[in-house]
Amino acid sequence: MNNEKLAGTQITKTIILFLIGSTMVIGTGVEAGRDMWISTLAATFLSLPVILIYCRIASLFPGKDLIEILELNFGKLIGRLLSIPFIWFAFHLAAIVLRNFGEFISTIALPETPKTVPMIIFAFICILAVKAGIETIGRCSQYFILLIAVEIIIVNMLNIPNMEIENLRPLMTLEASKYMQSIFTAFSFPFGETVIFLMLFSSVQKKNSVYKIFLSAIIIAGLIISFTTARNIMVLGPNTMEAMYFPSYSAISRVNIGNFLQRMEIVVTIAFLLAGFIKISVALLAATKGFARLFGFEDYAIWVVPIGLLMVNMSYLLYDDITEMFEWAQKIWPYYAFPFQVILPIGIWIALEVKRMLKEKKQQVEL
Amino acid sequence: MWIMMIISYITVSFFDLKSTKDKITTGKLMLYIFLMAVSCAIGIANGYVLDMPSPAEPLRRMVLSITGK
Repeated sequence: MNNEKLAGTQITKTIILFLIGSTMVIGTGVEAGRDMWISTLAATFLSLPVILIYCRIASLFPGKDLIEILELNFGKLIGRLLSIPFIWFAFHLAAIVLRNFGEFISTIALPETPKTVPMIIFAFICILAVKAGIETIGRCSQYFILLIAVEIIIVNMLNIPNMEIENLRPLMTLEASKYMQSIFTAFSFPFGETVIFLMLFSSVQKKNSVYKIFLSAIIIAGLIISFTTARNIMVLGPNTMEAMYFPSYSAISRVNIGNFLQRMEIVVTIAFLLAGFIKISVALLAATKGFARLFGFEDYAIWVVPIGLLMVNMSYLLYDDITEMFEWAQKIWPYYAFPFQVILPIGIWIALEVKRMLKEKKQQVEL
Repeated sequence: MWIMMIISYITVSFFDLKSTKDKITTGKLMLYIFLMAVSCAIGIANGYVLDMPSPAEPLRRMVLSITGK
């Protein structure tokens, strides 16, 4: 199981689905109002320096994951201590995304059913996928991305009659701080979350360039998210969109071609759930792999069920209601995630570079 | 409800451990049982305690106090 290897295209598609997973459902960067799509686009490109740092960390030690890199460079004790925040972050992210989808299903389809029921079912599917291994998740991504791409194209074409380009105007009328806040939110959710892929890069074939994988995935996903946000604004209008919990779902429910082709939101819900399944599975896999390595176990499969069940309990405990969930996503998450997504990776990167430079100098002196 | 919860956790653990191809040592088994017991206890408490403290609440308060919002 630990010898599983993913092809470059598979991991790229997995990252794209991971990024669009819950972002398509709950949206991001709401602070910028009608210019949300611009701030999402800006966040895509402004997140690239941080993403390049993730790439650099991964490319310094090809074929190794973050915890191995930390152990190798800082010793077993400090390395393992440094890996704990990343394991916690992956676990917390998995629980949060599971709750997002639990609330989504419970709001749109099963309002009378306790939300634990869809959450447990969803979690069990993810647990099975993680137990099957990263190769299975990668192969799932390969097929799911086709479905989602077709869905995005068809649904957007059908939604053209409902789009009002005037809803996007006037452009850039808000104060700069609102845009900064919006970009910050859009960076932390979803682009910065890709930090957990550092814990999975031991499963990527060595011949693939980490830079190519990460950068192409970030740019494609960023464009999809920005376009989806622009579509939502054009269809719903900025005020309605800000008031909606699930803007994409509401925008697609407006599709009505000749009173015949309507209720397309069900098709889209399936696409959302597929992307969500990939996101939760990847986060759970990272948490489980990290946990296994933290305790010095070679194989992670045995820990998937206990950690997956803990994730279900945690996600149920996280918030009282959907309002609290959105408050957390918009006001708390960007600040909470910042140390995991920026401060720790930058610190690790600087330490690795200094160590590498000192080693090279020492070698030169010896020669 | 709690009896059902315990039975379902025991059933899941039984089938999960049975299907594991990896060698199960005593240390692994103890950690596994501990994690399942914690998970089961939280699950039961979720059903009986009305205002279970959320693990996100201290983090939320900390972030709000830092940002001053």
